[in-house]
Amino acid sequence: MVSGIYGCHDAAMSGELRTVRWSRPLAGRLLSPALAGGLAALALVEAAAIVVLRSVVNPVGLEVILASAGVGLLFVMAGLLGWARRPASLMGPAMVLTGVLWNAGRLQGPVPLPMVVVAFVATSIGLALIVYMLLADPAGRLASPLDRLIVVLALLAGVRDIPSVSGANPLQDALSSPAPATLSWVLSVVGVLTIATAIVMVVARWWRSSAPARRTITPIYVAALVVGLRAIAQEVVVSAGLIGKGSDVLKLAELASFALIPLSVLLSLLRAELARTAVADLVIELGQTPEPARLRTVLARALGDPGLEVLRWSPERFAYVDDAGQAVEPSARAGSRAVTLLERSGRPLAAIVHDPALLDDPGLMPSVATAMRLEVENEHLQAEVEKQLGEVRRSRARIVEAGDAERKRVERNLHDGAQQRLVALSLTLGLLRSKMGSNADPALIAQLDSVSRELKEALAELRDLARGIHPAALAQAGLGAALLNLAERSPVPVVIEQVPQGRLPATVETTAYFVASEALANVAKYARATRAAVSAVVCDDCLTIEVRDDGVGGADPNLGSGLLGLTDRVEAVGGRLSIESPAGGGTRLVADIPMDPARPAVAGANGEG
Amino acid sequence: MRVILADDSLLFREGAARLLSDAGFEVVGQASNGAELLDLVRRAKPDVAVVDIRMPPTHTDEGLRAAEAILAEHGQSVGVLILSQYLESAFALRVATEGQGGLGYMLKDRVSDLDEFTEAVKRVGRGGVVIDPGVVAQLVGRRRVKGPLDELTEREREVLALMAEGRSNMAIAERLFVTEKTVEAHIAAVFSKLELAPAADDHRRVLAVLTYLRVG
Repeated sequence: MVSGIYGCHDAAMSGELRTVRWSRPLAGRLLSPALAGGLAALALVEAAAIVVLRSVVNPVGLEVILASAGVGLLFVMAGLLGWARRPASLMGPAMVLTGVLWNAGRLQGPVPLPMVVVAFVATSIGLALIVYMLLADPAGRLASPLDRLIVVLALLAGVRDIPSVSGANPLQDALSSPAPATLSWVLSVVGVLTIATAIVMVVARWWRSSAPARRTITPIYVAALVVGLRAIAQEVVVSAGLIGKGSDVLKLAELASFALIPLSVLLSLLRAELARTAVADLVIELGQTPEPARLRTVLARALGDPGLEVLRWSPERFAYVDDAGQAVEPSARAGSRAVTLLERSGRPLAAIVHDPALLDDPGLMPSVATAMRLEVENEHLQAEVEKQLGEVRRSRARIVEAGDAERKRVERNLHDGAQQRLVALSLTLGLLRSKMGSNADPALIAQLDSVSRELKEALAELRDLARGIHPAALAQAGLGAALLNLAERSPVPVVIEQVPQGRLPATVETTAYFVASEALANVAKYARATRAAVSAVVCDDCLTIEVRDDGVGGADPNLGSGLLGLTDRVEAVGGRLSIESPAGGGTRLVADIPMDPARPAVAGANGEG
Repeated sequence: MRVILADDSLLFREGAARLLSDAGFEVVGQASNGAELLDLVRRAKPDVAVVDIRMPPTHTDEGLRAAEAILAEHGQSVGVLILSQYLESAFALRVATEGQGGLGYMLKDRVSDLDEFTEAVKRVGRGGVVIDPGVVAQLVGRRRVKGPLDELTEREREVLALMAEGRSNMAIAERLFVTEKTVEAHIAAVFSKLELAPAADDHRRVLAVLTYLRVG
């Protein structure tokens, strides 16, 4: 049994939540505080009148009178609460009306005849309304002709049943004179059959209901079952003549069973309230479970709807996608299900395909929507941050690579330009000098030699400058040769323990070289070391370069731009730099440089930085 | 002596060609990259090729690779003197390791020292080894943890450096104004102090000494 499926696409906007439901709001928002107050007051007045009138006549015990008025009030209370909670359902108004009519039906005693007639009609309608409420769907409609027949029969049974409460039924008096026993027997059989059919239908309806729907209707149906069985039992007991028709026990049992109906409605509303609380917990739980499939599981559990589906909006594909990544049109799932669309500033976020019964509580889906929106938005943000981080990482690596390429270009320009010209110039000078022979002016020869010396010094300086910009050895002979060169030039004795044999990606070699170069420069400047060691080892997907010395230690990577710059340099290509430098215990600097900057090295000590 | 010049700078080639011609060499060809050089060596059959290490297309170590190709193809008959604007001990070692000699590695600036340059070309042409004094000085002067090198006398260190440059005993004796016998005695002392096995010829000696200096 699926409630409220219409062909039309009835979208109701409520804040940012858009609920696509295939049902129409019936009672709407008719209930105003004034109306509620008026109905409650009417019920109270009725209750007071019942107590006063019945006390005067006093055909039954006081407890029966009080219970009788109390049941009516309970109906009114539960009805008003239900009406407020589920404005779309006819159940609330029906219950209030039942309460009012119920109490009107108890207005018996020394009252004028019209009043008695009103009481008869009211009692009949009230009883029929109770049956109607039990058979109607949550939206308040009777689905089958049989349902309607049962309600009509209940109306008649209510008329017949009046004397059990009033003890004075002119209608029955009129009917009973020709063949009272036969008529009574027929009415009893019809009543029992009606009640039995109603019970079967209620049980069948419960059986067909979805899990979320059952959560709401179970208490009410249990109450209905009790009312029905009690009525049958009474019919049987009275017909068998075991207990007199007007006995207080029967009346109290009857009242108690009817009282179960408003109480069960209150229980049902309470359960819905608890479901909302469960949804509130959802926010917390979702925060701890980021996987998409978990979201579905958690939601399904919180809402008690195992068939619940979450379709996420994929802006790239411009479609909703399920957990398997398949594009899905939500309305295609809407056959027997309701779809709630989540939006943010007009942009779709997700769609929840769920049991339509979840819409009976208008507060539920908005709570879910809020929780979901937080979660989905969180996911979006996280994905966005990840994406941006990736971009920043890549751009940082690109900047470093571009810097290296630029250094290389400058070095090459120096080599092919200024250095080459100066070498050629030096060569020409040498030629000139040799041509002059030994007979030339000694002053001129001395001058020429001086120029030649100056030129050589200029060349040497230029060479050092170019080496600092980008060591030719790195491009020509690789990291191993360049590290040996560094060691040969270091003022502190350096042992090169291990170098990689083959060539590595240019960025890796350059980064490792600058790490060693900067580290050895620091050793020479600050460490007061007697020796240092360098090792470069290729591991799985990275190069680990280590520089250590036996100096004074106490190097702080946060002080001085040298080490900080080095850290930046290494991290820019996805690597990790760690420095151990206890005071007096030497310094050990380790850099892990990934072969591929897109797959960053994970240094054990540093973790994510 | 027939010489070929290979360098991507025309300016340098022309200057060096004039300098060598003036010094009595016969410059039989010029090349601007490795491929041209190999082709030219095949056709002109020079005694020596003077080659810049950095040439197109990669501007890294084409000269060295061309030298290795020439040695492989022509053996001792063609000597190669490699010129470079930077001195790398790694390349010096490669030069010393290659073949049976006839290979040199020299700083390009030194071309302006006419005597040094022509002497180097001649030595390579005769099948000798030439290692730039700058590389040797850097290796000998390198700071190292205390070791056998500290046991050498000043004169022994001089002899060691000259050996590493690829000079013969006679050349060393001339340089230091001592007899060849004295040089031999110094060399024996050096090898014994450094615990090196005596080398059979000059270029093996260069390799042994360079390797020691570089690793030790």
